[in-house]
Amino acid sequence: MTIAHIESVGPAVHHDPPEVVAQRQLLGVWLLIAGDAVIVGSLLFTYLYLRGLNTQKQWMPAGVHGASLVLSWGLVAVTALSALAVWSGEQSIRRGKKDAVSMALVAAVLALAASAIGVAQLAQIPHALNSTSGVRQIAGSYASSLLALDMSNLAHLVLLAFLGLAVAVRVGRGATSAQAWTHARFVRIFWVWVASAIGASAVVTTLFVNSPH
Amino acid sequence: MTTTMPTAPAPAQPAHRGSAGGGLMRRLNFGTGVLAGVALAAVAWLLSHSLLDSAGTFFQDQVATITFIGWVVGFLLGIGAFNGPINWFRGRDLTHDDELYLAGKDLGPRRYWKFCTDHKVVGVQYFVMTMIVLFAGGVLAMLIRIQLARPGDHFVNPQIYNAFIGMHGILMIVGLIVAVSGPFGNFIMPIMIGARDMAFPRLNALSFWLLVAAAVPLLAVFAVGGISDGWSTYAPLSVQDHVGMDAFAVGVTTFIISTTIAGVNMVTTFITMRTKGMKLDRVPIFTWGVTTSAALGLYAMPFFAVALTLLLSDRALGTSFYLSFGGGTDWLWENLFWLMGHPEVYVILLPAVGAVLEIATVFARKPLFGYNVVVGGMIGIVGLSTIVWAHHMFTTGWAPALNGPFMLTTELISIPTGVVFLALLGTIWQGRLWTRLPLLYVFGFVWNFIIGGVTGIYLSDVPVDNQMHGTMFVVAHFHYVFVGSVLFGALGAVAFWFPKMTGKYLDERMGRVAFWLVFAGVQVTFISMFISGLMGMQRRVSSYAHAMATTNFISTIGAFVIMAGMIIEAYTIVTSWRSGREAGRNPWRSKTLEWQVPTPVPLENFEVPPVVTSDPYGYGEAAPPLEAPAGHPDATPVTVGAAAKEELQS
Ligand SMILES: [Cu+2]
Repeated sequence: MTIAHIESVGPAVHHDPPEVVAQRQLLGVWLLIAGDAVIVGSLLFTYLYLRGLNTQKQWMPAGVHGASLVLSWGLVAVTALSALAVWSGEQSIRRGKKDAVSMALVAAVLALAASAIGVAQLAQIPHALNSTSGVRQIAGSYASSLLALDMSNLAHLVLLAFLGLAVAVRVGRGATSAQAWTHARFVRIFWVWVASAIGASAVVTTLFVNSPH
Repeated sequence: MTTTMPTAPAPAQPAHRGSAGGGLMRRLNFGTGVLAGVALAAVAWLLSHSLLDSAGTFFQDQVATITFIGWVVGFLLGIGAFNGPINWFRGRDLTHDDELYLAGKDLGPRRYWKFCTDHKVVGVQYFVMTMIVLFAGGVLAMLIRIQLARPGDHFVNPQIYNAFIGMHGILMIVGLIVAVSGPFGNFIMPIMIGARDMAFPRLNALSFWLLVAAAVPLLAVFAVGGISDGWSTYAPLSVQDHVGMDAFAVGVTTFIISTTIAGVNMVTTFITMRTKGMKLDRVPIFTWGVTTSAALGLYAMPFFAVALTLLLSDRALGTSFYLSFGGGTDWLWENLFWLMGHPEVYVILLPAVGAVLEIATVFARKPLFGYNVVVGGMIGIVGLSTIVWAHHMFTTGWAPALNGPFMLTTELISIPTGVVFLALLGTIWQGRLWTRLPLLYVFGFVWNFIIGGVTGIYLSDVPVDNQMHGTMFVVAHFHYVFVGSVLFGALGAVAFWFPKMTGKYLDERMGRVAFWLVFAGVQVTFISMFISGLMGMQRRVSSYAHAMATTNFISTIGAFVIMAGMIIEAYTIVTSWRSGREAGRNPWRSKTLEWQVPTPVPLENFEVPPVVTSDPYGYGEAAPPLEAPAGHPDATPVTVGAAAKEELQS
């Protein structure tokens, strides 16, 4: 490889400029979201595939009803509100406004509230005594697929609560500020992705309930 | 050559709070990781025993799953993997001193036992870990071949034999996924593109220690009953399997988290860390191999994580994803598994192909033949390999109407693969061949990959697959790919980059003995295995008909020859590392950047970032004159003296 010249520099600078680091971290965030999207996508595929097959008519065995729409759309609403709070918190941070800490706290609290709704969803997953295995288990593949989606949503929401609290703490201690706000942006991007994923799972589980077969 | 650390004052740093340069990290290492891992596993075991219903159907699997997760989390806590996120949460960003401490500055050999962020340390850690994992898998291969040396279950019972098969499979898959990308993707790639480290050094350390964390449940599978259904752990058998399956699922999922993080890191490094002038058509081809593999792994591996999580859920929570009596289906497992499983073949293959191409240019003293076409071929492989997965399911009855299309896509993928292969031949063609050890492995790769590749095209054909599916023919085919091609690429990479990583030559004479033994052993073992398969021998069986006794005995002899070669190879690596001949900075007179920096490579690789003005394959062309960096006559590793100029012009 030909190296035409070596840049002449003053003192060796072993840190890239902040904007370069920010671009790099932004790409990392998007790639992590891509990997996460494969996970969420596989769970939605699982739901739709098992519904389409309806093996041994056990998608929704007798006595199983569709999940509560109030809970699933309540979850979407609270998560969307929390995303709004994070977004407005990010704006406040970038403008150096004082309400940044409280907005981040609001977002974290809303994520926790959404997590509580997620727990309520899990509590409603129907169980039944399986006639073939003779074991009390989760009733059919509809309930199983819901459980997987609900657990995934819950795990994401707990992570969001951690991130929201972290932003609040970091702003409070000056680590994230109007001069260094990129981390707040990353948190907001991830937050919006999680809200979209939760929205997608609500859409799928609302539109497609009973098996066509 | 001596290494000089930067003496210039560091840029403005966050204010110090607490002890400088690492804080708590000073006390944490592999030992504290093991202690914390064992402790948390014990706590998890006790808690799950006292809190869960011990009369419940799923009790054992719940306890096993929670306990193994306890180990993984505890180990990571104990080695300091979570210190970064916790400090970030507390608003304590790293100071430059912290970063240097984490990178292992002034720690000496102790840094290899720590959560060390220097990509070169991580590369060496991966190198050692890969050898351990492959050795464990190799021992299991020998046990399998002892069993199959003659018919009749004369060595172990079928249940134990099943555990050998499954664990041989997963250990080799794990070992080969990291065999090239782990050591050389980490150690070499950043230097090749003129970077000071990976894009995310802490994630880099995390991906390595996740691999170590994963190895423990994987090896513990034997202690808790083994697994019975091969590394592909098809449902519903895997739902009913022993507690060993819980250990397997936790271990493999942990490994997948590791590869996903590594994938994010490698792709980001490749895209954002290239030095000035290192355009995308100037990067060494090896970095394309590593990056395309990493990107493909980032897409493919999460499918397996989901499949395994759902499996754990069926086993421990009573869901029915894979159990037909509860509305599930084994086709779900097969789809999720092969959505990962086929791309994974190329995740394993691409870095090895990149290494082989890199070696070929240096030892044929020629530019890479058709650089752009090779890059296009690699990207084509990545794209196509996401739409071929169901060729593993021709005989399962899933979507028979799709057999034709999947046959077509599978045959299509042989086009970009063939193009890359032809480029390798074109690079060697009429070169001034310097037949040192690394080039021997390139030749071995060429020979083996033809056999492994062409037999793969047979198997993509639906009627042939209906006949051959599940036979030893398939096993011989993918061993020609994995052992014959990937392992040869990896061993070639070892021979090639050993001088840069250790400062010593890999002993040429012993290395050649190992090469020829492994090469001959592969032919004997697997050609004979093709014949066993054509005779109708099923894979994964612990015994077989007497008619296949001869071919199986020959395969066993061949396998022991491979093992003998690998033991000599391991001995050569250890002795050369300790007391091999000094190699100097650039023993192969290569033009890529990693050979222009001193050996051992200084902590941040380049004192001053290099600026690149041409591709790295101008062998035989006169190099333009070099300028010494103004004011830094000897500070920079990429200089620049009469000797360096001569080398570059050769
Ligand atoms: Cu395949």
